Amino acid sequence: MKRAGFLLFMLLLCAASFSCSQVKPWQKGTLSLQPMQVDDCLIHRFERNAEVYREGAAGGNGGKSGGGCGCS
Amino acid sequence: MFLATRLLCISLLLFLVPRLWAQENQGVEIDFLASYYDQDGDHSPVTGGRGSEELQSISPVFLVKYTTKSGWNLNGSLGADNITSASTDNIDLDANGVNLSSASRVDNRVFANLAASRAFGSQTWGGSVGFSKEYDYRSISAGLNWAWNFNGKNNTLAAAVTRYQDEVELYNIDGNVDGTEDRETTDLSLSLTHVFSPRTVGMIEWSISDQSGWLSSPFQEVILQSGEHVQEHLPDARTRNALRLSLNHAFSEGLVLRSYARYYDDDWDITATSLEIEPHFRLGGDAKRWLYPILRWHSQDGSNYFGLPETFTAADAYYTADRDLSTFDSMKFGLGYEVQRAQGRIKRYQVRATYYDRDDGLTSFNLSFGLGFTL
Repeated sequence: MKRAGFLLFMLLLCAASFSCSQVKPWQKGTLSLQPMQVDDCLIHRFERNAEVYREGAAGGNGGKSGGGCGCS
Repeated sequence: MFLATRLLCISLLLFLVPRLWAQENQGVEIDFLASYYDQDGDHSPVTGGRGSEELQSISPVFLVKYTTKSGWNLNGSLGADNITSASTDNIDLDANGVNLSSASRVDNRVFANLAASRAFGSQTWGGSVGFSKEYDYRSISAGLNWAWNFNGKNNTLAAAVTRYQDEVELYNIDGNVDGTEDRETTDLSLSLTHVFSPRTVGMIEWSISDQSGWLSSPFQEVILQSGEHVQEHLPDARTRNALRLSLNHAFSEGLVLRSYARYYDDDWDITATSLEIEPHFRLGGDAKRWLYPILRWHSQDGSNYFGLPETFTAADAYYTADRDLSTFDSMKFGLGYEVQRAQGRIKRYQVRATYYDRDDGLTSFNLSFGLGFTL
Protein backbone atom coordinates (compact mmCIF):
# COMPACT_ATOMS: atom_id res chain seq x y z
CA MET A 1 0.00 0.00 0.00
CA LYS A 2 2.79 2.33 0.96
CA ARG A 3 4.56 1.51 -2.29
CA ALA A 4 1.39 1.93 -4.39
CA GLY A 5 0.83 5.38 -2.89
CA PHE A 6 4.34 6.44 -3.64
CA LEU A 7 4.12 5.19 -7.23
CA LEU A 8 0.79 6.96 -7.71
CA PHE A 9 2.32 10.20 -6.45
CA MET A 10 5.21 9.83 -8.84
CA LEU A 11 2.92 9.13 -11.81
CA LEU A 12 0.76 12.13 -11.01
CA LEU A 13 3.84 14.29 -10.76
CA CYS A 14 5.07 12.90 -14.07
CA ALA A 15 1.75 13.64 -15.78
CA ALA A 16 1.66 17.12 -14.30
CA SER A 17 5.11 17.85 -15.64
CA PHE A 18 3.90 17.57 -19.23
CA SER A 19 1.01 19.92 -18.65
CA CYS A 20 3.01 22.77 -17.17
CA SER A 21 3.56 25.88 -19.23
CA GLN A 22 6.79 26.23 -21.17
CA VAL A 23 9.65 28.24 -19.67
CA LYS A 24 11.35 30.38 -22.32
CA PRO A 25 15.14 30.36 -22.79
CA TRP A 26 15.51 33.93 -21.54
CA GLN A 27 13.78 32.94 -18.30
CA LYS A 28 16.33 30.23 -17.49
CA GLY A 29 19.06 32.33 -15.90
CA THR A 30 18.37 31.06 -12.41
CA LEU A 31 18.18 27.48 -13.67
CA SER A 32 21.81 27.72 -14.77
CA LEU A 33 23.02 28.18 -11.19
CA GLN A 34 25.18 25.25 -10.10
CA PRO A 35 22.92 24.11 -7.21
CA MET A 36 19.97 23.99 -9.61
CA GLN A 37 21.51 21.13 -11.62
CA VAL A 38 19.65 17.88 -11.02
CA ASP A 39 22.83 15.80 -11.07
CA ASP A 40 24.90 15.46 -7.94
CA CYS A 41 28.05 17.56 -7.70
CA LEU A 42 31.21 15.70 -8.70
CA ILE A 43 32.51 14.91 -5.22
CA HIS A 44 29.15 13.61 -4.03
CA ARG A 45 30.09 10.33 -5.77
CA PHE A 46 32.26 9.33 -2.81
CA GLU A 47 29.34 9.46 -0.38
CA ARG A 48 27.11 7.65 -2.86
CA ASN A 49 29.69 4.87 -3.10
CA ALA A 50 29.79 4.54 0.68
CA GLU A 51 25.99 4.37 0.77
CA VAL A 52 26.04 1.63 -1.88
CA TYR A 53 28.37 -0.39 0.36
CA ARG A 54 26.80 0.36 3.74
CA GLU A 55 23.14 0.11 2.79
CA GLY A 56 21.57 -2.95 1.21
CA ALA A 57 19.11 -0.67 -0.52
CA ALA A 58 21.47 0.60 -3.22
CA GLY A 59 20.30 1.95 -6.54
CA GLY A 60 18.40 4.88 -7.92
CA ASN A 61 21.27 7.28 -7.39
CA GLY A 62 22.80 6.96 -10.78
CA GLY A 63 25.49 4.97 -9.03
CA LYS A 64 26.73 1.53 -9.80
CA SER A 65 25.45 -1.69 -8.35
CA GLY A 66 28.15 -3.86 -9.86
CA GLY A 67 31.83 -3.48 -10.50
CA GLY A 68 33.03 -3.65 -6.93
CA CYS A 69 32.88 -6.14 -4.12
CA GLY A 70 31.49 -3.82 -1.44
CA CYS A 71 33.42 -5.79 1.12
CA SER A 72 34.65 -4.92 4.61
CA MET B 1 55.01 1.67 -4.61
CA PHE B 2 54.29 -0.08 -7.93
CA LEU B 3 50.71 1.17 -7.81
CA ALA B 4 51.85 4.70 -7.01
CA THR B 5 54.28 4.65 -9.95
CA ARG B 6 51.59 3.40 -12.29
CA LEU B 7 49.17 6.04 -11.08
CA LEU B 8 51.82 8.74 -11.53
CA CYS B 9 52.55 7.62 -15.12
CA ILE B 10 48.89 7.47 -16.03
CA SER B 11 48.31 10.84 -14.38
CA LEU B 12 51.05 12.34 -16.52
CA LEU B 13 49.45 10.84 -19.61
CA LEU B 14 46.10 12.24 -18.55
CA PHE B 15 47.77 15.60 -18.14
CA LEU B 16 49.83 15.65 -21.35
CA VAL B 17 47.53 14.03 -23.89
CA PRO B 18 44.64 16.47 -23.43
CA ARG B 19 47.19 19.32 -23.51
CA LEU B 20 48.37 18.21 -26.96
CA TRP B 21 44.83 17.64 -28.15
CA ALA B 22 43.81 21.02 -26.81
CA GLN B 23 45.83 22.67 -29.56
CA GLU B 24 43.23 21.52 -32.06
CA ASN B 25 40.17 21.15 -29.87
CA GLN B 26 38.40 23.26 -27.35
CA GLY B 27 36.91 22.72 -23.96
CA VAL B 28 39.49 20.44 -22.29
CA GLU B 29 38.66 20.16 -18.62
CA ILE B 30 40.32 18.20 -15.87
CA ASP B 31 38.93 17.52 -12.42
CA PHE B 32 40.99 16.07 -9.61
CA LEU B 33 38.85 14.60 -6.87
CA ALA B 34 39.93 13.00 -3.61
CA SER B 35 38.21 11.53 -0.61
CA TYR B 36 39.11 10.30 2.86
CA TYR B 37 36.67 7.87 4.47
CA ASP B 38 36.90 6.63 8.07
CA GLN B 39 34.45 4.09 9.48
CA ASP B 40 34.00 2.30 12.81
CA GLY B 41 31.58 -0.22 14.24
CA ASP B 42 31.44 -3.51 16.16
CA HIS B 43 29.49 -5.89 13.97
CA SER B 44 31.79 -6.99 11.17
CA PRO B 45 30.30 -9.79 9.06
CA VAL B 46 33.83 -11.03 8.38
CA THR B 47 33.89 -12.25 11.99
CA GLY B 48 30.27 -13.38 12.16
CA GLY B 49 28.79 -10.05 13.23
CA ARG B 50 31.02 -9.68 16.31
CA GLY B 51 34.12 -7.79 15.30
CA SER B 52 35.55 -4.42 14.43
CA GLU B 53 34.31 -2.71 11.30
CA GLU B 54 37.12 -0.17 11.44
CA LEU B 55 38.09 0.93 7.93
CA GLN B 56 39.87 3.84 6.29
CA SER B 57 39.92 4.57 2.59
CA ILE B 58 41.70 7.21 0.49
CA SER B 59 40.40 7.63 -3.05
CA PRO B 60 41.99 9.91 -5.67
CA VAL B 61 40.18 10.26 -9.02
CA PHE B 62 41.10 12.08 -12.23
CA LEU B 63 38.38 13.09 -14.68
CA VAL B 64 39.21 14.40 -18.14
CA LYS B 65 36.63 15.87 -20.47
CA TYR B 66 37.15 17.35 -23.90
CA THR B 67 34.99 18.27 -26.85
CA THR B 68 36.11 17.77 -30.44
CA LYS B 69 35.34 20.18 -33.26
CA SER B 70 32.88 17.67 -34.63
CA GLY B 71 30.89 17.86 -31.40
CA TRP B 72 31.90 14.65 -29.64
CA ASN B 73 32.17 14.84 -25.87
CA LEU B 74 34.89 12.47 -24.68
CA ASN B 75 35.28 11.62 -21.00
CA GLY B 76 37.88 9.59 -19.22
CA SER B 77 38.26 8.76 -15.55
CA LEU B 78 40.93 6.99 -13.58
CA GLY B 79 40.95 6.38 -9.87
CA ALA B 80 42.03 4.20 -6.99
CA ASP B 81 40.82 3.20 -3.56
CA ASN B 82 43.48 2.59 -0.94
CA ILE B 83 41.70 0.68 1.83
CA THR B 84 42.96 -0.12 5.31
CA SER B 85 40.53 -2.45 7.01
CA ALA B 86 40.44 -4.33 10.30
CA SER B 87 38.14 -6.92 8.75
CA THR B 88 40.29 -7.36 5.66
CA ASP B 89 43.12 -8.27 8.02
CA ASN B 90 41.23 -11.41 8.93
CA ILE B 91 41.36 -12.76 5.42
CA ASP B 92 44.94 -11.80 4.60
CA LEU B 93 46.48 -15.01 5.89
CA ASP B 94 49.76 -16.61 5.01
CA ALA B 95 50.21 -20.25 3.98
CA ASN B 96 50.03 -21.34 7.61
CA GLY B 97 46.78 -19.51 8.26
CA VAL B 98 48.44 -16.81 10.32
CA ASN B 99 47.59 -13.14 9.87
CA LEU B 100 50.23 -11.29 7.92
CA SER B 101 51.88 -8.10 9.14
CA SER B 102 49.95 -4.88 9.47
CA ALA B 103 51.13 -3.79 6.03
CA SER B 104 49.02 -6.57 4.55
CA ARG B 105 45.91 -4.85 5.84
CA VAL B 106 46.15 -2.40 2.94
CA ASP B 107 44.27 -3.32 -0.20
CA ASN B 108 44.02 -1.37 -3.42
CA ARG B 109 41.35 -1.08 -6.04
CA VAL B 110 41.95 0.70 -9.35
CA PHE B 111 39.27 1.65 -11.81
CA ALA B 112 38.98 3.46 -15.15
CA ASN B 113 36.19 4.47 -17.46
CA LEU B 114 35.99 5.89 -20.99
CA ALA B 115 32.84 7.46 -22.39
CA ALA B 116 31.82 9.25 -25.59
CA SER B 117 28.62 11.06 -26.49
CA ARG B 118 27.36 13.33 -29.24
CA ALA B 119 24.25 15.37 -29.84
CA PHE B 120 22.27 14.69 -33.00
CA GLY B 121 19.67 17.42 -33.11
CA SER B 122 17.55 17.15 -29.98
CA GLN B 123 18.90 13.71 -29.13
CA THR B 124 22.19 12.70 -27.52
CA TRP B 125 23.67 9.23 -27.86
CA GLY B 126 26.60 7.86 -25.95
CA GLY B 127 28.50 4.80 -24.84
CA SER B 128 31.04 3.84 -22.19
CA VAL B 129 33.43 1.08 -21.19
CA GLY B 130 35.13 0.55 -17.85
CA PHE B 131 37.06 -1.79 -15.63
CA SER B 132 38.03 -2.19 -12.00
CA LYS B 133 40.43 -4.51 -10.26
CA GLU B 134 41.29 -5.41 -6.70
CA TYR B 135 43.04 -8.37 -5.11
CA ASP B 136 39.99 -10.66 -5.21
CA TYR B 137 37.71 -8.94 -7.71
CA ARG B 138 37.82 -8.00 -11.39
CA SER B 139 35.12 -6.21 -13.30
CA ILE B 140 34.56 -4.97 -16.83
CA SER B 141 31.58 -2.95 -17.96
CA ALA B 142 29.98 -1.46 -21.04
CA GLY B 143 27.04 0.88 -21.34
CA LEU B 144 24.83 2.86 -23.70
CA ASN B 145 22.87 6.02 -22.97
CA TRP B 146 20.38 8.19 -24.77
CA ALA B 147 18.67 11.52 -24.01
CA TRP B 148 16.01 13.52 -25.81
CA ASN B 149 15.29 17.21 -25.20
CA PHE B 150 11.80 18.35 -26.09
CA ASN B 151 9.14 20.90 -25.21
CA GLY B 152 11.54 23.78 -25.79
CA LYS B 153 14.25 21.99 -23.77
CA ASN B 154 11.99 22.01 -20.73
CA ASN B 155 11.80 18.21 -20.72
CA THR B 156 14.58 15.67 -21.04
CA LEU B 157 13.80 11.99 -21.34
CA ALA B 158 16.85 9.79 -20.76
CA ALA B 159 17.67 6.10 -20.71
CA ALA B 160 20.86 4.26 -19.82
CA VAL B 161 21.85 0.63 -19.66
CA THR B 162 25.10 -0.73 -18.23
CA ARG B 163 26.29 -4.31 -18.11
CA TYR B 164 28.92 -5.44 -15.59
CA GLN B 165 30.76 -8.71 -15.96
CA ASP B 166 32.60 -9.49 -12.73
CA GLU B 167 34.85 -12.26 -11.50
CA VAL B 168 35.11 -13.00 -7.78
CA GLU B 169 38.05 -14.87 -6.31
CA LEU B 170 36.58 -16.98 -3.54
CA TYR B 171 38.58 -16.31 -0.39
CA ASN B 172 36.73 -18.41 2.15
CA ILE B 173 36.46 -17.79 5.90
CA ASP B 174 39.68 -19.75 6.48
CA GLY B 175 41.61 -17.47 4.12
CA ASN B 176 41.97 -20.12 1.39
CA VAL B 177 41.00 -19.59 -2.24
CA ASP B 178 38.24 -21.87 -3.53
CA GLY B 179 38.50 -20.90 -7.20
CA THR B 180 36.58 -18.13 -8.93
CA GLU B 181 32.94 -17.43 -9.75
CA ASP B 182 31.16 -14.96 -12.02
CA ARG B 183 28.74 -12.19 -11.18
CA GLU B 184 26.68 -10.41 -13.82
CA THR B 185 24.83 -7.15 -13.29
CA THR B 186 22.60 -5.23 -15.68
CA ASP B 187 21.53 -1.73 -14.67
CA LEU B 188 18.72 0.05 -16.49
CA SER B 189 17.76 3.64 -15.75
CA LEU B 190 14.91 5.75 -17.13
CA SER B 191 14.50 9.38 -16.15
CA LEU B 192 12.46 12.44 -16.97
CA THR B 193 13.71 15.92 -16.12
CA HIS B 194 11.25 18.79 -16.23
CA VAL B 195 11.56 22.55 -15.84
CA PHE B 196 8.47 23.47 -13.82
CA SER B 197 9.12 27.21 -13.70
CA PRO B 198 12.03 29.66 -14.03
CA ARG B 199 12.88 28.75 -10.43
CA THR B 200 12.01 25.06 -10.16
CA VAL B 201 13.38 21.96 -11.86
CA GLY B 202 12.70 18.32 -11.02
CA MET B 203 13.63 14.84 -12.09
CA ILE B 204 11.98 11.47 -11.66
CA GLU B 205 14.13 8.40 -12.21
CA TRP B 206 13.33 4.72 -12.13
CA SER B 207 16.21 2.31 -12.03
CA ILE B 208 16.22 -1.45 -12.05
CA SER B 209 19.21 -3.65 -11.41
CA ASP B 210 19.29 -7.35 -12.18
CA GLN B 211 22.09 -9.42 -10.68
CA SER B 212 22.99 -13.07 -11.01
CA GLY B 213 25.90 -15.32 -10.13
CA TRP B 214 27.93 -15.33 -6.92
CA LEU B 215 26.30 -12.64 -4.76
CA SER B 216 27.66 -13.77 -1.38
CA SER B 217 30.91 -12.47 0.06
CA PRO B 218 32.78 -15.75 0.53
CA PHE B 219 34.92 -14.49 3.42
CA GLN B 220 31.94 -13.34 5.49
CA GLU B 221 30.92 -15.83 8.15
CA VAL B 222 27.83 -16.69 10.14
CA ILE B 223 27.78 -18.13 13.65
CA LEU B 224 25.08 -20.83 13.77
CA GLN B 225 23.02 -21.80 16.84
CA SER B 226 25.41 -24.72 17.31
CA GLY B 227 28.32 -22.28 17.57
CA GLU B 228 29.76 -23.47 14.28
CA HIS B 229 31.27 -20.76 12.02
CA VAL B 230 30.18 -21.15 8.39
CA GLN B 231 30.40 -19.11 5.23
CA GLU B 232 27.45 -16.81 4.53
CA HIS B 233 25.04 -18.09 1.94
CA LEU B 234 22.81 -15.85 -0.17
CA PRO B 235 20.69 -16.45 -3.29
CA ASP B 236 22.36 -16.32 -6.70
CA ALA B 237 19.93 -13.79 -8.15
CA ARG B 238 18.61 -10.41 -7.09
CA THR B 239 16.43 -7.75 -8.69
CA ARG B 240 16.42 -4.23 -7.28
CA ASN B 241 14.03 -1.37 -8.02
CA ALA B 242 14.48 2.26 -7.02
CA LEU B 243 12.35 5.29 -7.71
CA ARG B 244 13.93 8.68 -7.13
CA LEU B 245 12.50 12.17 -7.17
CA SER B 246 14.75 15.23 -7.17
CA LEU B 247 13.38 18.73 -6.85
CA ASN B 248 15.46 21.92 -6.83
CA HIS B 249 13.90 25.29 -6.11
CA ALA B 250 15.47 28.73 -6.04
CA PHE B 251 13.75 30.92 -3.45
CA SER B 252 16.04 33.71 -4.64
CA GLU B 253 19.35 34.11 -6.47
CA GLY B 254 21.02 33.56 -3.11
CA LEU B 255 19.04 30.61 -1.70
CA VAL B 256 18.53 27.31 -3.53
CA LEU B 257 17.02 24.22 -1.93
CA ARG B 258 18.15 20.88 -3.35
CA SER B 259 15.96 17.98 -2.26
CA TYR B 260 15.78 14.31 -3.03
CA ALA B 261 13.51 11.40 -2.10
CA ARG B 262 13.95 7.74 -2.99
CA TYR B 263 11.97 4.57 -2.50
CA TYR B 264 13.65 1.18 -2.92
CA ASP B 265 12.66 -2.47 -2.87
CA ASP B 266 14.16 -5.76 -3.97
CA ASP B 267 13.37 -9.46 -4.03
CA TRP B 268 15.52 -10.09 -0.96
CA ASP B 269 12.68 -8.36 0.96
CA ILE B 270 14.56 -5.11 1.56
CA THR B 271 12.54 -1.90 1.33
CA ALA B 272 13.88 1.55 2.10
CA THR B 273 13.11 5.24 1.99
CA SER B 274 15.71 8.00 1.76
CA LEU B 275 15.28 11.76 2.06
CA GLU B 276 18.00 14.34 1.52
CA ILE B 277 18.06 18.14 1.57
CA GLU B 278 20.83 20.64 0.87
CA PRO B 279 19.85 24.32 1.20
CA HIS B 280 22.53 26.31 -0.68
CA PHE B 281 23.36 29.80 0.56
CA ARG B 282 25.23 32.08 -1.82
CA LEU B 283 28.11 34.06 -0.36
CA GLY B 284 29.29 37.47 -1.58
CA GLY B 285 32.13 38.20 -4.01
CA ASP B 286 32.74 37.98 -7.74
CA ALA B 287 32.94 34.21 -7.89
CA LYS B 288 29.83 32.13 -7.34
CA ARG B 289 30.43 30.77 -3.85
CA TRP B 290 27.95 28.52 -2.12
CA LEU B 291 27.86 27.20 1.43
CA TYR B 292 25.37 24.47 2.30
CA PRO B 293 24.44 22.17 5.15
CA ILE B 294 23.76 18.52 4.24
CA LEU B 295 21.06 16.37 5.82
CA ARG B 296 20.09 12.84 4.80
CA TRP B 297 17.78 10.31 6.46
CA HIS B 298 17.56 6.68 5.44
CA SER B 299 15.21 4.02 6.84
CA GLN B 300 15.65 0.42 5.76
CA ASP B 301 13.52 -2.66 6.40
CA GLY B 302 15.98 -5.52 6.19
CA SER B 303 16.19 -8.88 4.51
CA ASN B 304 15.00 -12.09 6.19
CA TYR B 305 18.37 -13.56 5.27
CA PHE B 306 19.99 -11.39 7.95
CA GLY B 307 20.19 -12.63 11.52
CA LEU B 308 22.11 -11.90 14.69
CA PRO B 309 24.84 -14.39 15.68
CA GLU B 310 23.43 -17.82 16.70
CA THR B 311 20.09 -17.19 14.98
CA PHE B 312 20.29 -19.63 12.08
CA THR B 313 20.74 -23.38 11.87
CA ALA B 314 22.45 -25.42 9.19
CA ALA B 315 19.00 -26.34 7.89
CA ASP B 316 18.30 -22.75 6.81
CA ALA B 317 18.77 -22.16 3.09
CA TYR B 318 20.20 -18.65 3.29
CA TYR B 319 21.88 -16.67 6.05
CA THR B 320 24.16 -13.70 6.59
CA ALA B 321 25.46 -11.59 9.47
CA ASP B 322 25.97 -8.57 7.22
CA ARG B 323 24.19 -5.64 8.86
CA ASP B 324 24.19 -3.75 5.57
CA LEU B 325 21.22 -6.03 4.78
CA SER B 326 19.50 -5.55 8.16
CA THR B 327 16.78 -3.23 9.44
CA PHE B 328 18.16 0.15 10.51
CA ASP B 329 17.77 3.91 10.35
CA SER B 330 20.66 6.19 9.52
CA MET B 331 21.36 9.90 9.47
CA LYS B 332 23.99 11.79 7.56
CA PHE B 333 24.77 15.42 8.20
CA GLY B 334 27.54 17.72 7.13
CA LEU B 335 28.67 20.86 5.39
CA GLY B 336 29.65 21.67 1.81
CA TYR B 337 31.38 24.58 0.10
CA GLU B 338 31.61 25.20 -3.62
CA VAL B 339 33.11 27.90 -5.82
CA GLN B 340 32.46 28.43 -9.53
CA ARG B 341 34.75 30.81 -11.43
CA ALA B 342 34.14 32.29 -14.87
CA GLN B 343 37.70 33.64 -15.29
CA GLY B 344 41.07 31.89 -15.13
CA ARG B 345 42.14 28.29 -15.53
CA ILE B 346 40.74 27.13 -12.22
CA LYS B 347 37.02 26.75 -12.83
CA ARG B 348 35.72 25.26 -9.62
CA TYR B 349 36.61 23.78 -6.29
CA GLN B 350 34.42 21.85 -3.93
CA VAL B 351 34.66 20.48 -0.39
CA ARG B 352 32.19 18.26 1.48
CA ALA B 353 32.49 16.89 5.01
CA THR B 354 29.83 14.50 6.29
CA TYR B 355 29.23 12.34 9.35
CA TYR B 356 27.15 9.17 9.00
CA ASP B 357 25.43 7.54 11.99
CA ARG B 358 23.61 4.20 11.73
CA ASP B 359 21.47 3.20 14.69
CA ASP B 360 23.23 -0.18 15.02
CA GLY B 361 26.41 1.64 16.09
CA LEU B 362 28.20 2.04 12.75
CA THR B 363 29.58 5.54 12.21
CA SER B 364 31.68 7.08 9.47
CA PHE B 365 33.28 10.34 8.46
CA ASN B 366 33.85 11.40 4.86
CA LEU B 367 35.91 14.34 3.64
CA SER B 368 35.85 14.99 -0.12
CA PHE B 369 37.66 17.56 -2.22
CA GLY B 370 37.48 18.52 -5.89
CA LEU B 371 39.45 20.91 -8.10
CA GLY B 372 38.42 21.58 -11.70
CA PHE B 373 40.53 23.44 -14.24
CA THR B 374 41.05 23.90 -17.97
CA LEU B 375 44.21 23.56 -20.02
